[in-house]
Formats: sequence, C-alpha cells, structure tokens
Amino acid sequence: MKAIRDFSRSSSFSLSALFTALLMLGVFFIAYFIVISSDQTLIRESEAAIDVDAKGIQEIYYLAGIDGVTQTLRMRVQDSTNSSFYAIQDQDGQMLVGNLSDWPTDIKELRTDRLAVFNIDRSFVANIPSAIEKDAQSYNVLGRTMVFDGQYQLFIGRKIDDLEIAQWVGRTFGWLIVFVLCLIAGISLWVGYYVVSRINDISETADRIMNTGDLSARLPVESTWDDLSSLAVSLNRMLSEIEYSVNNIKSVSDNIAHDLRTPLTRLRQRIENQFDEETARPLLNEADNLLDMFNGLLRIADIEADKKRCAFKTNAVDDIVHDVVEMYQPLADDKNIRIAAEIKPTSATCDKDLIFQSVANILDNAIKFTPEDGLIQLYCGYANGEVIIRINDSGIGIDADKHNEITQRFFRDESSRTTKGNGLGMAMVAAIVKLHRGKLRFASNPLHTGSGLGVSLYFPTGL
Amino acid sequence: MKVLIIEDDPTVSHFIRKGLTEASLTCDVAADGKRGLQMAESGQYDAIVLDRMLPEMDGMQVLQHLRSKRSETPVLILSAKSKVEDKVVGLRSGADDYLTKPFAFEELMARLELMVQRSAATPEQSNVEVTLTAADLTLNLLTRKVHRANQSIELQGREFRLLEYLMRNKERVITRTMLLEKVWDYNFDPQTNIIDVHISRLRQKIDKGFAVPLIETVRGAGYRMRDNIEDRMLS
Repeated sequence: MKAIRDFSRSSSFSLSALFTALLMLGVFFIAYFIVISSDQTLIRESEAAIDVDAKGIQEIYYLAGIDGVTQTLRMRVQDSTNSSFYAIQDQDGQMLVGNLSDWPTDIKELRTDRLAVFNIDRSFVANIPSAIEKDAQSYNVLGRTMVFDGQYQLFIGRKIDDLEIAQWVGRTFGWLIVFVLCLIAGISLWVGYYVVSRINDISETADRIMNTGDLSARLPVESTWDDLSSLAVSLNRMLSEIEYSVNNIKSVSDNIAHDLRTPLTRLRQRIENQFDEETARPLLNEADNLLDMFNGLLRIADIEADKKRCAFKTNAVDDIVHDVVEMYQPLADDKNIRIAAEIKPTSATCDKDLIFQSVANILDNAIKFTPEDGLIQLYCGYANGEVIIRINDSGIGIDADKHNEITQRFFRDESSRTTKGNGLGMAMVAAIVKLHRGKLRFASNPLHTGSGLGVSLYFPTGL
Repeated sequence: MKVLIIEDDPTVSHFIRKGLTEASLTCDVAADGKRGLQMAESGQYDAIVLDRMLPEMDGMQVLQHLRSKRSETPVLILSAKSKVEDKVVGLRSGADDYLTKPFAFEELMARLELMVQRSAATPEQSNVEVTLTAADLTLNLLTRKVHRANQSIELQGREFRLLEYLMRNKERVITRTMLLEKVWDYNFDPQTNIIDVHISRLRQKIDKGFAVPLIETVRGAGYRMRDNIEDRMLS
C-alpha cells in the first residue's frame, strides 16, 4: 500500500505550491512598483529639466529680446556637453537658430506649453549635439513649444532614449524573474514528487516486511545528501538490529524445541522401560499431554511469527468445512447433538491444513461445551466479498465481557475447568485467522436458546 | 531385517536398539554422521533410522549423499524439529518417513515395518489388487462393496477409506497419526480422541455380531487389522 496515493495531495507538494504562489505574488508586487516608480521618476526629471530650461529662455527674452535668445541658443548648441534639441522660427517659418534643420513634422498638432514625445528623424538634425550618439537613426524626444509675443516660436526637446533603455532593462529583468519563478516552481514540484515517491518506497517496503515477515528486506537508500535517505539509513540500522534479535529468539526457540524434546523422549522411554504397563500408562499420558501443550505453543508461535504463506493455494473452503463436519459428526452423534450445516460453494486462497485445524478447533469446542440434545449451527459462504465460517452452539457459552480473553493462550472459563483441554485451541484459531488477514468475532446466545457461543471467522478470498 | 540407527544421543539409540532386539531384529548404531554414512553405504541394511542433528555431518547431508549414490535403502528421519516445512524438506530430500521426538517405540516400529514392506513391494503387486481380504472380511475396490462372512456391510466414504487402509496393512500396527495422515489427508492436530471415535464406529459395522473382532487395539500404539484368526486363537 502506498502511504501517499496522489502526490498532489501530499503536504510537501501543498507547501511548495503555497511558497511558489507567495513568491510569485511578492515578486510581482515588487517588480510592479519598481517599474512604475522608475518610469515616473525618469519622465518627471526630464519634464522638470525642460520646464526650467523654458523658463530660463523666457527670462532671457524679456531681458534681452529675441537677439539675446538666439545668442544664448547658438552658444548652447555649440556647447559640447549639450544634449538638448532647440529650434526657433519667426512668423514666416524662417529658422533662426537651433540644431534642427526643420521644424519637427508633428509639431503642428502640439499645443503650446504642452509636453509631448516626438520621434525626430536624424535627417532633421542639422547640428547633432555632441553629447548625443551620432549613429542613431532617430531620436525619441520629449519636448514642448513656446511662443514669444506671438512672433517667435521656440521648441525645446530632450532625448529620452535613456529612459527607453531603462524600460528595456526593466522588461528584461521582468522576463528573467518570470524564468526564475518557473524554475523555482519546477524545482518545488520535483522536490514534492521526489519526497512523495521516496516516502511511498519506504512505506511499501515497511508493508512488505509486515506482510511477509521477511526481516532481511531493507529500505532503499538512493543518495547520501537527502534527509529521507538519512532516515532510511537509521531505519535500516533498526531493521538489522531487529533481524538480529528475532533470529536470536528463533534459534533459541528452535534450541528449546530440540533441548526439551530430547529429554522428554528420554523420560518417555524410561517410563516405558522401567514400569509395567499399568503404572506406565497414566505417566505416559501426562508426558504426552505436556508434549501436546508444548507442541501447541510452538505451533501458535510458528504461525504467528513465520508469516510464511508458501502453503497458500486456491482451495474449496466448502470441501474443507465438509471434511471437518464429517470428522466430528460421530462426536456430536454420541451426545445426540444435531449439526445443522449450510455449506455453500466457497473458494479462497488459504492454507488447507490450517483452515481445517481452525474449523476443527471451533467445532470441537462447540461439541465439548454443548450439552446432550443440543444444536450446533454451521454456515460457510461469502459475506461482503469475504469468506465467512460461522459456528453457533446452544452450549454453556462464555460471558460477553470475557470474549476478548478467549483467544489468549491457556484461557479456560471457570465453567470449563473440568473439561479436557489445554486452552490453546482458540489461540491457535486466532493466529491462523491473523495469518489469513481475517478477523474473528464472538457472539453470545446466537441461537436464542438462553446461552451458547457464536464464533464467526472472516477472511478475504485472495491475498 | 537389519536396521542401522544413526543417532548421537546414547539414551535414544539404546532405547531403539533394545526395542528392536526384543522384536528379534538385528541393528547397528552409528553415533555420528560420517560413520553413519560409511556404514549405510555398505548396503547391508534394510532400513535406516536417521537423526537430523548429528555431529560431524548433518542428517540431511547424510541422506543427500546416500540418495546421490542411488542407494534405495528406506530412511526414516527422526527429529526434534516438528514444523511442517521441516517435514516437507525431509521427505523431499528422499526420506521415506518422518517422525518427531519424542516418540513411542510402537510408533517407530509400526512405521519401520510399513516402510520396509512398501519398499520391498513391486509396483505390479499393488496395482493388480481389486479385492482386499482379511480373515472373512472382503473389500472390493471397484464395486466398493464390503462383505463379512457373506453379509453385506454398508460403509460411508471415509469409513471405506479407513477400512481400506487398515486392510492394505493387515497384521501391522497402524498408529493414530498414520491414520490422520493417510486416511484424512490433513496435517492437523485433533486435540481429541477423534480417531478412536471413528474406529469404534467402524467396529460397530464390521465386528458387531461376530465372534472374533477383526480390529484390534494395540495398547499404547494404535490398531491392527487381524487376518489369521485361527493362529491367534490357538496361541
């Protein structure tokens, strides 16, 4: 099972998406304000300079008349640091002075005292100001006109190509920011995806270890730099430690099996050799009981710990249940207990011997604890896509508050102390059901006879 | 019949040896795997009882060496390992039977006898049989009819298979574990004397009303189907 099914629903993806969005918003605002403010500042500066210039020339006109103005402009035009365009004409359209050979074409539309942006072709420029680059085809000029006494018209303009450059720089940086943003978004997505797939790898391995009990499996470690790999490395260390301990325990219990069986064999043999049949029989029975209990415990531990499902095959569960009923029918007949069995065709992937064992244990208990002339109801079939085997009896039953103790090893209800048995049967059933990824449910008084126990065993049809 | 016991625990080997000698069989004991293999390779034994955990050479290795040299001597593995997988591995490696410790001597004896008989029987012998007989009881495998002293006996499926198995191995001790494995074909731990109940049902049908019971209980071991009634009555 994957820990995170859809990577777009992972926390790392949501976080990276959120950060990307916030970053985009922030950068957008900053860029917006920078572009707006720099544009305005540059234009205002130029406007102010033109206005100051215009006012100066006006003052000169009042003080020194048109001659003063032409004189001043002539000097200005010849000044090497000059970067402005000037033109002055009289009523007849005669150019008096300036660095423009002709009046700018679209000047007619321009109202006096208003600023506007012109595109002045290079051919118009008679005397290119030295501070202005000479190889440009045309110039973008911010300018205005003035009229003195209704006779002379003056044009003052400033090149604003610098401003254009600033705008171009702004645009380029804008695109760069967009590109960087895309890069960040892409990397965030990749980080999200990478983290999710690594987590899924880890959780899949963990699931596999849980299901197969194969402790030799290790989490994948892909690199040495990311945090998840460091986590995987330390989890792998933990797995090695657990594997070591489990193997130790296993070999210890295998040794117990060997070490206890051999003395038991000797004990049995001593008894057989040294006593007569009469004395030996009860002693041998006790030894055998001890051995049965011991075998039962080992078998439960085996089923619980091994988790090996090598004996799992597709089996007809109904046939297995049939065989159990057939085997135990004589026991029920002896007590005149009726077994009402409804066994429907059912098949599932399971261990045939273990299913037989579990149904046999439940049925054996049911017969043991149901008094003479009682009833046992058995059902085998499907329920909600799962296999269900239910065995209800009209026996002495077990109090509902003790139902969760039934599957504990050596559980024996007060009322059953005198009955033969070692209290391992239902613990074994629970272990078998768990191996089949199923569940075990108990019910009191299932047949409405006043008492009795109902045991239901559910397990999936396939693994 | 000559039996080789490969077992490192002297108490166990002594116990087996004593039992086999009492049953007038000859036997030799090897206390480790290497020695055991050497003796087994001489080919003079009818059966080998092999312990799994041995010094020098593991029981499974001894078995593999034997089988790789095409020795067909029947081998019974004796082991403290009781897991089903261990049993399966043992039988797959070429063992003829598998018995877990501790065991009753009768169980070992019954299995040894059956094992030797099986290996001696040629395939034709077992295939031709259509009717099985034991004393005045007959069982027809084709018609699935059972008669005793010309009286027809009705048996149900499992009862028929139980009787068939007992009759195929008449005059031999059959243990409860052997019946569980062969007649019911489930590897399982009954926790109840369920086999005894089935035997008593079968007795009801074939022995009730007859002077001589054919299914005999062997104390501490299991059951035996009788064949030579007269001999037994005389003795």
